[in-house]
Amino acid sequence: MRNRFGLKDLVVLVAVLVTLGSVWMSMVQEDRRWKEVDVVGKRVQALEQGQARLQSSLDGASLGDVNRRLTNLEEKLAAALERGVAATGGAGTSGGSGATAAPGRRDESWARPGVPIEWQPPYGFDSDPNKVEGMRRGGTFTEAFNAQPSTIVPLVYKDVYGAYVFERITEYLAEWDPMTLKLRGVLAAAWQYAPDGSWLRVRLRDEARFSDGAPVTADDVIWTYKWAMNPQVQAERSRSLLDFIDDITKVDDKTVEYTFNKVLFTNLSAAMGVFTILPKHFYEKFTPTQYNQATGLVMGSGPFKLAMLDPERQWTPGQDIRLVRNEQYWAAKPVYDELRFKVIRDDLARVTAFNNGECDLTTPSSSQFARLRERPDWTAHNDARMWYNIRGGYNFIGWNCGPRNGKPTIFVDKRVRRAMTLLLDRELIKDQLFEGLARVATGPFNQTTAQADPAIKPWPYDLDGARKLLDEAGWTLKPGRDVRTNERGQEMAFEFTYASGSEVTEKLGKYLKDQAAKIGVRVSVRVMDWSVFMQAMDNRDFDAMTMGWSPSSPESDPNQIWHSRFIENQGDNFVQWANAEADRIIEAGRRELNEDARMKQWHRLHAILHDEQPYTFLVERPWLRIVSKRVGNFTEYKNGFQYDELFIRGPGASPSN
Amino acid sequence: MITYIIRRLLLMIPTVIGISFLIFMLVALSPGGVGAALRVAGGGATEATNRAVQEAYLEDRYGLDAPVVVQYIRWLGRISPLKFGQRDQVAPTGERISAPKPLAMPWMKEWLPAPLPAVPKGQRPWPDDATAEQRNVGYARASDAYAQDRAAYVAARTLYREALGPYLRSVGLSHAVKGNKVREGVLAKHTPDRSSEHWPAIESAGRRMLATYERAAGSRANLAAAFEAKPFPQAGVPVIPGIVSVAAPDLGMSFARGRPVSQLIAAALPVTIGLNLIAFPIIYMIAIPAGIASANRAGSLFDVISGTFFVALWSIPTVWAGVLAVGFLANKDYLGWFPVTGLHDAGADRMTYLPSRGADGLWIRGYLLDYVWHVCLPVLCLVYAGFAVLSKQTRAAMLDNFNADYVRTAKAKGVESRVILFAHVFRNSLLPLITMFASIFPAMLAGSVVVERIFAIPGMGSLILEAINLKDRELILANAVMIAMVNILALLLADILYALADPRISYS
Repeated sequence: MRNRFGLKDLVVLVAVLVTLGSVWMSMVQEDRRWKEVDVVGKRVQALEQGQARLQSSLDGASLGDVNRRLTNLEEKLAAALERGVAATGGAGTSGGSGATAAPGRRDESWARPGVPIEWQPPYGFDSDPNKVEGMRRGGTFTEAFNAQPSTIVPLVYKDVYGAYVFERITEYLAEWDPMTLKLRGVLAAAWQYAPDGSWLRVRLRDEARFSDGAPVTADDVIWTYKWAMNPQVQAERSRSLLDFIDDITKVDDKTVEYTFNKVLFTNLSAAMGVFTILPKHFYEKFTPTQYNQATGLVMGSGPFKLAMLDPERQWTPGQDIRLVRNEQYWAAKPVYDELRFKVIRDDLARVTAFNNGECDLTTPSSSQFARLRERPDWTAHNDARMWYNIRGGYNFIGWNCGPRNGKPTIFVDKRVRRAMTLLLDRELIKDQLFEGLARVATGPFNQTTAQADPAIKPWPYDLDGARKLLDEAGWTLKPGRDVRTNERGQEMAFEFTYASGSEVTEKLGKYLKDQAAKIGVRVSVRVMDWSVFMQAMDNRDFDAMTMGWSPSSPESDPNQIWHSRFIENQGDNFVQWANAEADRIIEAGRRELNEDARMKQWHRLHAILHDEQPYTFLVERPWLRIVSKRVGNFTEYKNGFQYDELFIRGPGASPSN
Repeated sequence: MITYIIRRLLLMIPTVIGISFLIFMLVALSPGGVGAALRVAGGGATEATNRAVQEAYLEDRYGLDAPVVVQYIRWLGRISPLKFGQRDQVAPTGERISAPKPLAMPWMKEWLPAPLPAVPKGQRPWPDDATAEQRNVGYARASDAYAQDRAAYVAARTLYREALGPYLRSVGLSHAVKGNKVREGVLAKHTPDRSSEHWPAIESAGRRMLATYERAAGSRANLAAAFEAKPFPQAGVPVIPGIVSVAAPDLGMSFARGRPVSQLIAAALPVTIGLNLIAFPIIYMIAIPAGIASANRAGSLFDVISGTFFVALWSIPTVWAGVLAVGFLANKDYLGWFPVTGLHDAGADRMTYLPSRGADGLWIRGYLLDYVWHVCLPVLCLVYAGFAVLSKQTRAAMLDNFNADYVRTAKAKGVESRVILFAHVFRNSLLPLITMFASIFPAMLAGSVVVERIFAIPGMGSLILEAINLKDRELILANAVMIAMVNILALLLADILYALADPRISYS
């Protein structure tokens, strides 16, 4: 017989292939370990350099103390640095020392004369973990995201999760104070805002420095701005938010001046809060293409830094994101060592991983949240947290107040729109559709903020009132018929459009249909894919629709949603609501730089929207988080929570199973 | 045989072109379109005018403003290994640089306040004896300048289009601007009313468009001159110098993620292949012996039970099985034997490859075991449904042969039943198994959407699903073409294996 390829040969072949593959994989793994060692080596080197720089940069007065400590603790390099910086840079916790402490000695040579300077308080913890009983240093905090960020690089990031990560590593010039929601300086020590709103001068903090020890300077701010404006960098999103800036110029090493081309109330916060400051000396080395394609190229001045910052071996989607404490951090340093983000898209798997102790914090679905917090064995080890903050948006039903395909819809009449609002029992919607984890919205402004008028109460659930309004509007129910008609005999019917994929909107559609039938209105339902839905919005091709808005700042600009200018050109006023008085209020409010006066305008706008009901404002959504009791000092703030204030209790306190 | 293989390989080209054309058109003509998906991905909370300009930038970057057929031909040109015309160059950073993109003409030349400026002759931004460094910097500068000027022009062109709006509405021609295009054919028949109140806005927008066009054309000429001076080594190998060359196919950039498609696939593919390399041998090693055994004792208790059991497994939906596996096998409230998600432990990078004892004398499981432990549940979900089809196929093919004359002859000759089973019957039953085998490869590449989602595995399944959701055209096309090619190759391989397994088959 011929020499055939038999079973024995197959076994040998497979064995050889498996061995070869295995050897190759072990080589790859050894390589990986070798690089890990390399990274540790580099980190030690960086620490040594940082120490040298720190010593040389400290001035005579405070040098003695820190220097002595540093030399004493030379062997424990990392620990020594941590304390050394806490003594000088962590001014926020201890009341401060050095240049920022005594107002009398403040250097004001950078400022324009005659314009008041707004000095910012020292930057530090809002709730100091060091003062919490049971605080423990060290440990890892892990959060599980429910979607995969495709990149965590500032400016070119694509989603909110990317932002959560780079906001830990890089810092803005200013941010919203989590308690008062006023703007406060982070990298900015002080600023001067022109009384007419045409320019802004920002002084950087002297002690602010990047994680490699280099100080944050005016050049970094200007470079970051120029980089964001470079058309080769794919930062369209940030770029479109920065078009109010004419230019940023350098005054001195620590001072920059913005000039604005339009005067809007958002200028101050946007100028300092749209882009985080990137270190020029680090990013300069990369071409725009390299930057655009980067997935994990993040370096900055924040409390954390990437565990591994190697342009050749960046973090890529699919891996856990590992951040470590920035030992060089200039302000109050976190007490735990490592911050880790993992991604688990499946709801069940995510909560199971949480229950198994694989992560310390995550976002459950509403139904999971409602179920878990009822379980005593679960709440013994974990917390279910629900709180309203500026990042939770609202859901609404939008009524098309303008023409659809050239013909006016039935919602042109505001009585019809209000009847629709009266028709919907929003308390019931809240309880049944949102598992009670929401509150009824009164208008477009978040009730956590001062922008909303607290005097405005939601319209009640009132079927008779709805019937009466429809009768008034000329839609009457003739005897023997079950659908209302107007004097021309047209039946009262409309189409409810929504994007597929959400169970809640599906239920809402059914509820609306049932309720409308009760008062003699016929509703048909149209479900679409998200991008088709957006196209229908752009073409104003709908009668009624539902969606949600999420605000990005405590004071949202009503312009793009409510001004009649944005009916044209596929703007965001897709319900085509035009109201001359509202237009005037919006224009005046946007130009008003005085906060109290501006809030009065927003309250007036709120009242008009309440009266007109271009949207039926359904509910405001809170943040839902489940947190392990292992995590200490978790505080609910009006802007979310603060990662750098947490601490991790010892393993003993973690769930026992 | 060889000619047969070559013929089949050549046939691949029209097949792939046909498939890619179909998918390209499906994506391009689907409601919402590619542009809409881009905008959704970008999150659209900006003012309307900004948004139009922003969209124009994006369309310009990805060439979405050209007619669909032109876009398709461009795409073909990029993925074809045969390149025509000017060769790309490779910058020191490894980036592939193509000749500068042409500029779109300003809208409605006839309506502009001044004639179109002549395109100046480009200046190469470095002297003849420039060093490599000087060329590098010079090229980067020219390319920056062109990007700036082109962006300004794209914005001005969009604003001109917007400025036309009020006027066209006033003369009842609003259909002349459709989406992001001005239909010049419609406007050519119209004599503009220059005394209209809307005309000054058009004129000033036109002037701005002209000025930016002139600057962009100038810097484009400079960049083209710089490119022609070949500052960097050229990519690929020339076939006919200056006309045809061979270079690696370029799969393009993912719209939604802003990264090269090849990088994304290179990251996801090993994950999926790794999983399947474990899963498929398990299926084969269980299903084929089971099929042989049940054919050998057809009608026995084993045959009935194994058949029922496999079909029962096959009927369980993967979604449900995955949820059960996570809920019971991974949940520490129940068994908790396996990790819930992921492919590796947090510290896996620092582990040794094989299990070992750490410095502190503690047992370290090692990278290999860690991987195996993590993939247990996903592999379980991948394999359990695969037994039924394969074992039933084996059983049926074996039974056919058991009843054949040659088996009776062999039995009559007194050949050992083991020899009959493996040397005669099994060998002759291989053909259907080979057919099955050919269908495995494409399945290996495609990955499993459900399993990958439940266990948070960043494989091909989730990559493709996300690409489809976001209408990420380049990513969808690259994946589809890749899977189509592997499918065709696998079918070819099956045909070749037929010939090897069965001497009666020949292709000459």
